[in-house]
Amino acid sequence: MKAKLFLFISLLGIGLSACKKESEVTKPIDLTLNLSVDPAQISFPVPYEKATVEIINKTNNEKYAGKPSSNGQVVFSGIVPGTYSVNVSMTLSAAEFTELSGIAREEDYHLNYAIDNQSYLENSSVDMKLITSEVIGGFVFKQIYYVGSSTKDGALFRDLFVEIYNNSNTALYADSLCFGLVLGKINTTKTDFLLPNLQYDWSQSIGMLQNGDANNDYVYAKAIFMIPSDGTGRKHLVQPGQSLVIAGTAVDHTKPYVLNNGKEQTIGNGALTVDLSKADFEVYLYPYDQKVNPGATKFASDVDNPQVPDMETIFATGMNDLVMNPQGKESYILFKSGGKADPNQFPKYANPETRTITASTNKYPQIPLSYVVDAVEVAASVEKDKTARRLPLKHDAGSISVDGGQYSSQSIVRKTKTTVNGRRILKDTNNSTADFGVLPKADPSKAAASFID
Amino acid sequence: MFLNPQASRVLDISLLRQGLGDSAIRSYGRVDLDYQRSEGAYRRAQEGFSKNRVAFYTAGARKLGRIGISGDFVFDKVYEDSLSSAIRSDQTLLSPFYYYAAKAGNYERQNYKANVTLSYDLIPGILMPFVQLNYGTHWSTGSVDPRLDSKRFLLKYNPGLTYRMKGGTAVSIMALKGSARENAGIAFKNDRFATSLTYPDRIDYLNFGYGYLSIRDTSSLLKKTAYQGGELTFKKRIGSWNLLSFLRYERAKEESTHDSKSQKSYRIRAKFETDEYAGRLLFTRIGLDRDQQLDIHFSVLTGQDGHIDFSPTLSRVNYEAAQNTVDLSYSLIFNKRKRNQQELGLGVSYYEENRSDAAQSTRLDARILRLNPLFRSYIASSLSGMLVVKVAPFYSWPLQTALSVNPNSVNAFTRNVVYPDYYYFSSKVAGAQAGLSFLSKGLLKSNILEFSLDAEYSSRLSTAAESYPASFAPGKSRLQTMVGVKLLF
Repeated sequence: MKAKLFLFISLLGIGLSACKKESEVTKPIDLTLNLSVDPAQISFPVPYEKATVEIINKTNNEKYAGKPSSNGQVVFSGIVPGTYSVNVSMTLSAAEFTELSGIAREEDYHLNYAIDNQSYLENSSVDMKLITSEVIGGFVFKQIYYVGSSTKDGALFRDLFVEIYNNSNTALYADSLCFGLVLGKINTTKTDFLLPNLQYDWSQSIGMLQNGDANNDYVYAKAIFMIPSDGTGRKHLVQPGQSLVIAGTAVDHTKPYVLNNGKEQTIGNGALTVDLSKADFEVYLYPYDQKVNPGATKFASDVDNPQVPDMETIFATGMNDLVMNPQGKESYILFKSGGKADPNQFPKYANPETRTITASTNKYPQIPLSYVVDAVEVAASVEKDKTARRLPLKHDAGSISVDGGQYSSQSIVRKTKTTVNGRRILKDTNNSTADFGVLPKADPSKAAASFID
Repeated sequence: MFLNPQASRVLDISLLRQGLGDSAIRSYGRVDLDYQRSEGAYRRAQEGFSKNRVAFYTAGARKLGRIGISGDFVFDKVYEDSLSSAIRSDQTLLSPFYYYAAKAGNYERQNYKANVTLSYDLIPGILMPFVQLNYGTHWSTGSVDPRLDSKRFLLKYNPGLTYRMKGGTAVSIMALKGSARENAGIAFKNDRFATSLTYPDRIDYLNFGYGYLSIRDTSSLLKKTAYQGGELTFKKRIGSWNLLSFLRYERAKEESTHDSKSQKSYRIRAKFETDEYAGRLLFTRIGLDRDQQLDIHFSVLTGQDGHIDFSPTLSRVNYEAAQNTVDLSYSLIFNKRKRNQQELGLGVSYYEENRSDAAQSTRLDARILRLNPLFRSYIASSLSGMLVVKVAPFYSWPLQTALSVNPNSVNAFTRNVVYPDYYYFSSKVAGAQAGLSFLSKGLLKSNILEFSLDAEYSSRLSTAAESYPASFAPGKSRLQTMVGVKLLF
């Protein structure tokens, strides 16, 4: 009996074990990035070991830093297979550049590269040609408050503003300076007429003129607002280190005020929002609304503060008040109107997914990037929510987002690079990832607290 | 006769195993009401700082002619405080695909579990077919963002056959089959926590393994588990020893999805299959002056996953886990003929846990040995009762603790769970169990009433020297206490 029982138990165990099959096991991967430059543009030996390389895992939003060797190779070994974004930035001081190239230079020299949402499922070696772009200087975005404040206790989108800063060492006139919202695809749904990165392929827009590269030489605006001028171009002088605040609605949002419909706009928690009553300009859309849609009624929150000059609305669609996408699905540019750069004359195109043009089809102004003096690529807070970038790498090789998400009261602020004789010089390497930081609460005061050191 | 721990073990192993029960017993019943509390900083990362449990348990068996019915039922309510990194039910702890956030929170859990066995003496005293039903519902809820709500329902139906031979030998074989379904979800009361990255401990992830995470993935998920297996029980008298034993195998195949339950077909995102072998040999020798018992208990549980991120057919394994235990205990009750009796015992426990997340390049292997000598004294009292005093010191130490982590894949889970687990398993721990109980036959006529108070204190003596950047390190000590009342009839 004992022997039979032992045999039975043994057979049971063997039989059950036999059911288990050997399985293939997932393996981590090695990602090798090979940094290089275009020898036609850069002939000196680039010290790649000075570059900062960061990869972001799209699945879990974790960031990993790597340091390249002197020949430009950086290896991330044993990483999780998946989708990553990569950002590379390198700054050579003027002295370093001069020593390496033999060419005298007074400004820092920047090399950047970025790529989003790349799938690496097995060992991969990727070549990355760094891009150099000369910083234009002059006016730059100092602060962009695009997320708004609490939907329950704050001001929602009514308290949005941007702050434009004279980053040069000479006084500049802001007359006819235009602030534009750059349109892009707001999801990652694959459709026809898209680029490989899932951004619109504007070259396929109906009626697109063959005048350069429709995707890399231009951006397409959702809205353009211009600082008014008196015709002399010398009305709004901005001293070096000074800035202008452009408000959506230039009122004190921390307190109740009366809307256009006569109702009182209450505020649950004034600490969540800002006082924009001292803004330099405000966006007042009603005159534009009347122009494109005669008889339009005033939008309730598009309140006009007669004490604050209005921006001139060149173009706006999908908004009755200044509204910026709080999820980071728009980018922002500055360009100066004048001469050939007349925003009223820019050709307009429908987005390429629109295949039938009617009288009501939205068409967006095509802005030549050659006119752009500053551009900021804004992205979603969480990597997996990112949509395709809207700006070419040459104009912003990185991207920036608040970390608090939509309606968090946070703003993105360009970091201070140095201070000379009391004047702050803001960081401008054409890589927003490196240039910007996040202010826990937007601050239109222009005071020291509104800067990030 | 009082139900001493040796007799309790015999009843416990027999209750739901037809072949092991004493066919001479026509009726048996028991009701327990317990309150348990454990508290202290010496804990694993996914264990609460404190835990309170109130449980009502009842068990019984009865013969009605040829028909036998036996079973047990438990209802418990559990409150856990400061539990982090485990937004899940506590029913399938090796299983991946659960919500994870670093924020410590309060959890409330509730179980209804019932096991019922119906048998029929087809050939009286020889052949007895039976069927066993296992039923369970579980509910877990959290009260801190991100807050969990999880409901699990389980049903198993296990047919079997018992064959009794001469001399008290009996063999049973039982098939296991069943299923479970769990719906879990998270919600936020504070919208800011749902969208912001400025509160890192509130960020919700789905954990697919031992660190392979997906940030803000889905707010609801569904798990379906299919069980199958078998159990063999064997009872025999060997010389003056009685052997009660079983060998059990169960395979659980869990499939997880985030698809809505209203969808016609589910897209399975991950599976997790476990194989569990468990067995027990309980040798008992009842003598005139001394009782002896040798209890050998083992469990081997291994599991591996398949995830759609790595293989569309879920065939490639990323997460592997194993939890193996072997417990040996010997106890001797002597001076049975005297008014007061004593018990001496020694327990040796081996615990092994392995966790591996291949994509994350993370692997943790831990093996722990614990020695637990025991002394118990049974002191007869004047109230037709008995006072039982127990003292059992213990010492446990790691036989192996090995951790492998790749710096290029370290994430929040690594810092909050993997590193603390490593420190937990590499700790040397000393402590003691103490118990005091009073059993009375006089308070209730012909029934035994037992009041008990137990405590266990664990103190961490040392831990590993490696300095991983853990966000949490197990503290110095933990105290467990239990107060209970038991009625036997």
